[in-house]
Amino acid sequence: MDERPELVRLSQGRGAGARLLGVAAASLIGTAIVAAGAFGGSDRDEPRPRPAATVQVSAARDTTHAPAATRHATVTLPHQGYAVTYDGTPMLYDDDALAIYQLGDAVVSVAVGTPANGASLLGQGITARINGRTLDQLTDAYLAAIGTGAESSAAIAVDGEPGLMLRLTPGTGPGYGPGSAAALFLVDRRAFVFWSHLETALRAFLGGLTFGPGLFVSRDLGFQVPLLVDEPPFGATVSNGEGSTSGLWVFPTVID
Amino acid sequence: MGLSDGDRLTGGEYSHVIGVSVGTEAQPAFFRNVPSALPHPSQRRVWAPTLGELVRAYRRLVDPGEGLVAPTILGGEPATLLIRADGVAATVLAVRDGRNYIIATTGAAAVERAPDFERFLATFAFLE
Repeated sequence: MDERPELVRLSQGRGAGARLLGVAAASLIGTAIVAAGAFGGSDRDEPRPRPAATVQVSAARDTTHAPAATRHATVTLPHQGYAVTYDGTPMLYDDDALAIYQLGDAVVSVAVGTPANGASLLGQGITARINGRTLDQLTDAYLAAIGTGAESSAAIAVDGEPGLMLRLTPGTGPGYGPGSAAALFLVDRRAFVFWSHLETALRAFLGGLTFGPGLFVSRDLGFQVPLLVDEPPFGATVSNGEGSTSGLWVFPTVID
Repeated sequence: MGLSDGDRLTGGEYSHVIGVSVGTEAQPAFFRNVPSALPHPSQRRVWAPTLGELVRAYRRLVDPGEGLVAPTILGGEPATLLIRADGVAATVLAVRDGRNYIIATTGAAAVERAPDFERFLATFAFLE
């Protein structure tokens, strides 16, 4: 093995664009959701909900040439691997892996799962966590967890990523009336579960969504970490063939 | 496997980096996994069975810098933060399941942490 692990020769950084660390309370949304029973049933394994504190609210990524009328606020959660057009501040739970957005009278929940932690369905009032290595596995896990089935399913694409839109069978819970829907995606080792009691709201929400940066996962080295930029890390994992593995990975980042 | 010294990442130049090195007793972890202006240490790998022993072994092998050491958390596990050891801005050491983790960060223009280093540590998770 070449023992020269100093991997990266750096040069001057480049700007990453303006970012604002937006800190705002959205307790009214959370209060309304809780009052409506969407978070019915506590689970000791679920982290306590907290108001949004770290969400980055910024101008849309590329508005240089956009007319003012089309400029939108964007919620960016890079460590959860997505950004979405949203003029407000979501309620964040589960270390930001569960977010609740309010679009008019509709609520959209976004649950992000990783190999370390499955996607929490608490936004739908279900305490299960789900994951899957394939979209089919994720779909099976989701339908098993919600227990209501789907009236129909259709392939969809968001930001170029294939997914599945499920029109859910009306059930007994408050979120499973006619029109409720879920969209499932597997992107860069993350499982995304989008849900709303109104399919039209869900589709509108997904229209402003982009994925990334990705998630680095190494089961051989026993860790995962969100990527800081879209550029993949550089390095290697080496096994000695006798069950011992070492590795060295370098993650680039940029000046804000 | 060869890791050439000074390879440039595809698609851009970067102001800061964070290096993650993982090793076992059979294959000890590399350190000095990000650039440093100091001469290379005579020994480039380290392993220890416990966090305390890893910190002591690491500090024996490298320039201690400002000598500042503080407890921290990595992936929910106890870890140790070292400031400016080995000529890099910050290094975090952790031990889990027989593996040693060495996470270091520095910048191109100055010995300073990557701006997202704390978030990187906060979102780092161990896998079963």
